[in-house]
Amino acid sequence: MNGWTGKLLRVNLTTGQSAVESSEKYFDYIGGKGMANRIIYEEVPNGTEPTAPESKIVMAIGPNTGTNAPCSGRTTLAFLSPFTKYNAIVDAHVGGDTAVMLKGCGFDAMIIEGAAANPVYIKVIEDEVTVEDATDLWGKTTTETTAALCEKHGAGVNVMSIGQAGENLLNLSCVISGVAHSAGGGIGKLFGSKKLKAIALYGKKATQVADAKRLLELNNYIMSDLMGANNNHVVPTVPQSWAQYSNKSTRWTGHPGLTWGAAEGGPIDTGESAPGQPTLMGYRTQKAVFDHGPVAEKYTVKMVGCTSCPIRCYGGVNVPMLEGVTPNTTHANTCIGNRPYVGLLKNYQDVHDEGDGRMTAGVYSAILADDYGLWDNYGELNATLNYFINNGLMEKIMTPEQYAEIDWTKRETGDMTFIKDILERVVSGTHPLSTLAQGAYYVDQQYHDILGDDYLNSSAMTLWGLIGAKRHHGNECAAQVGMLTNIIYNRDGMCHTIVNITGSGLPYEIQRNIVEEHFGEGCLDKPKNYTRMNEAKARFAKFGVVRQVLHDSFTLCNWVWPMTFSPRKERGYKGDLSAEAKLMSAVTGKEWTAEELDFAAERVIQLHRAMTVKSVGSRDMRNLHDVIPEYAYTTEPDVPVFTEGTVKMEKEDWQLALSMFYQQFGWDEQGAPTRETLEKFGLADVADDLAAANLL
Amino acid sequence: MDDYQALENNQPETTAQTDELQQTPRQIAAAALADVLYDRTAHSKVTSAKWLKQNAPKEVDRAVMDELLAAVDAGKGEDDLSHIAMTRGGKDKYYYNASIMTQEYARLDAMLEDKDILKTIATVTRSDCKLYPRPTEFSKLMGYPFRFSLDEVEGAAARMQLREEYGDIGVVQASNGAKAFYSSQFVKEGYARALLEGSEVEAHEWP
Repeated sequence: MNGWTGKLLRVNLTTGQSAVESSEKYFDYIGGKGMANRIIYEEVPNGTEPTAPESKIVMAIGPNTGTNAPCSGRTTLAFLSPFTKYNAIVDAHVGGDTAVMLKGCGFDAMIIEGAAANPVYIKVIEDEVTVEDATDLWGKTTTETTAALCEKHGAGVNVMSIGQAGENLLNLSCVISGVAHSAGGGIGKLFGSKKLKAIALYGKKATQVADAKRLLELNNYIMSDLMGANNNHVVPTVPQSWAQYSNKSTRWTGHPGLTWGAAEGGPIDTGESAPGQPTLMGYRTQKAVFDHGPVAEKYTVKMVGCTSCPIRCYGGVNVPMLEGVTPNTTHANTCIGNRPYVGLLKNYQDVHDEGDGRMTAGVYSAILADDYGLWDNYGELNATLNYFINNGLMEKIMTPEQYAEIDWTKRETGDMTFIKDILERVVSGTHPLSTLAQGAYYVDQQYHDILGDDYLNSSAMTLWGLIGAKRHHGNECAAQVGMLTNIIYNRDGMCHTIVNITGSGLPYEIQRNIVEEHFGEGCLDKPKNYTRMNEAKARFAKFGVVRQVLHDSFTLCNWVWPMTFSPRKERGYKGDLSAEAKLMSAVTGKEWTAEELDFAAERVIQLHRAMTVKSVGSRDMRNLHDVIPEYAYTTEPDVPVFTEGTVKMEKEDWQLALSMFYQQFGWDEQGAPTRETLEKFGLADVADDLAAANLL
Repeated sequence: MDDYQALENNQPETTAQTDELQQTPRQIAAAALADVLYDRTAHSKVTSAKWLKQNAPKEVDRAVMDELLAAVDAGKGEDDLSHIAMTRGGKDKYYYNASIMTQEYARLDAMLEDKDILKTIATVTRSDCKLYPRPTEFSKLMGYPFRFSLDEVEGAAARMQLREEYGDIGVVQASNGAKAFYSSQFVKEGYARALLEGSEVEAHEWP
């Protein structure tokens, strides 16, 4: 069999038994997210409490995993959301080497079901699957757990672990893979509810591909002609001799004079790495400097990343100033994960050099959060904590004694230990601050009497939806297009298809001309200069989510893919949107077109939407699920909507946007799939299921 | 041609195709000159005519070099000089290997070589505002390859206010204090400020 292994592993934590089954009936869902969603649909009854023993976790990868295709090392975990309204299905995505290890063990997916009575970890070493006692690991940090299991089973073992946050059943808890990569969505709570401390994976089986030569040629083509830097930004941040354009906002930060300052053997200059030099690609994204600022250069050891990724988007730093302050002085993560709670401080104290206080506090907070396995929910937890502090609400949720225990002046003076003072109470599971890590929807439910309607609707929270999901590239990214890409999901969408385009660094007209070839005139507005909704925008938004779901199913990293643009001037900066289909064909041996692969990905979206309709218990998704907060309509109050300088939305236009988007997917005006649509995608059984629940 | 337009053209001003190689003294000189220009271009530098005259390779007779460069200027670079292009700066002519350096970068480096900070900032700002559109952050001008000091940039901003030819150049500020130049020829002040807020503040809040 090519691509897929054809096998899935089922582990029952109640019995401690495991079984190997065929995965072939799920191939229509590609793999990864698609396969995992279908399994949850079939095996977890609607209405199941996310933390009940009947609830399941499905961890899945795709036919592309393990092939060395660029950025193919992603894993999806599907489960019921513990933190958003309706507890509908969500996916968490994690990098590192989890995906290739699961494939190396010979599985397309692992189903985790039941619940253990006492702490356990799942060990999958090649063909040996056991459920092991983890009593000694319970209470340890994710780093300590990883170290302990690597010491026990070998340094090459991939360890996914929860920390204190998951053990104490916080909704905003995650699983940390390889002490750097995190799967969010509240998956840590589900692990904790099953008394599952960790998973240890090690396997060396090769992924079989149909045409290895073609795959190698494709990999070379993609890396030489299509790929730029992180988020497939195709323009460097500063003018470079080979480049026609530059853009300070991109992640192609590498350039002459910028180094990995703390590299082993001395500083390494990131230099110029023009297109066509794939072996230099890893120098293009100096992510530590991008995330922390210029002061991070001298602390940068190297860039880190997932298996089979040539980009390397994790800034690996060693901050000696943290010696004795944190368990270790090194850290690697990316984006908000590099500085998740630095925003709790109002000022920063320089430690060694002028301006290094913010970076030091950021790394400090990241080390703490990753060790706790505390999920920041794309900044939502930090925003919630600040919302309560800034609005004088902390006094109202704590006793006077609890409030007095915290030295709030540290926040003003920039003493970074304030972050630990807060986080250790958050992860305790018993302190009132723990209640702020439930996710915005449940925070609002518990404290609505003191929050009123402002909290969920506030620009300080920037949720995409009142179900409590964080905006993750919304109306600030291509107006209605960006916001529409969020409503598909029951958490922050993590859809990067569109933002990779708008953030590419290319001049607006080049971006527009290329995407208009695919989606029609008017699909892409100028930044902060929006026009009213149109059909081209609806097509563009659909493309955004279809490709993301394709990537999460195949698997490829949607933080880099699709290859809409190229860094090459001679290509007119045009990428290749058929690259995924070419990879799929080379891997599986069956010829796929881009349209066929998009259709398969859309099947997954149709299933996901139907599952969400069941969880909502109504077809009225427009009014019960796809509702965006008020801040989206009121931001920049002095600037009229649809004029230069604002990302403001208009209510009537948003309703039109929903209608056009629904039409693109074959949904009714309420935003729910019809029988005709479901049957078109081979989902007649799902249609019957909805009909039986009076939801069709 | 306006300077901001000059930054955006797609084709080098002057390039020519290689003729069949002949190892004549003139071709040996062309090869030596091409080597020098390749090395300097590979280090991201254009080379002024003045520098070439002062540092001519020993194989290159001064008169021959003048002829070879004249041919490059006319878009008819000979032999190994076929990839060499010229861009005209404010104070000199500048040469570079167009196979490894874009015209846009060459023109930028030529401006930096001219050391006319007002013209450089105004040209880059007009190009940024027209093309992308975006304001030109002070921090950009303080980084590679500009490397102006904050005092130089602040001073330039003040001096440009006194010069009629830079009457379209203004400064906007984001909520975090970051400043940027904009050109009112191509963007309004409010739009420039909103774009700056997006790149300097909002993009870091929601990376």
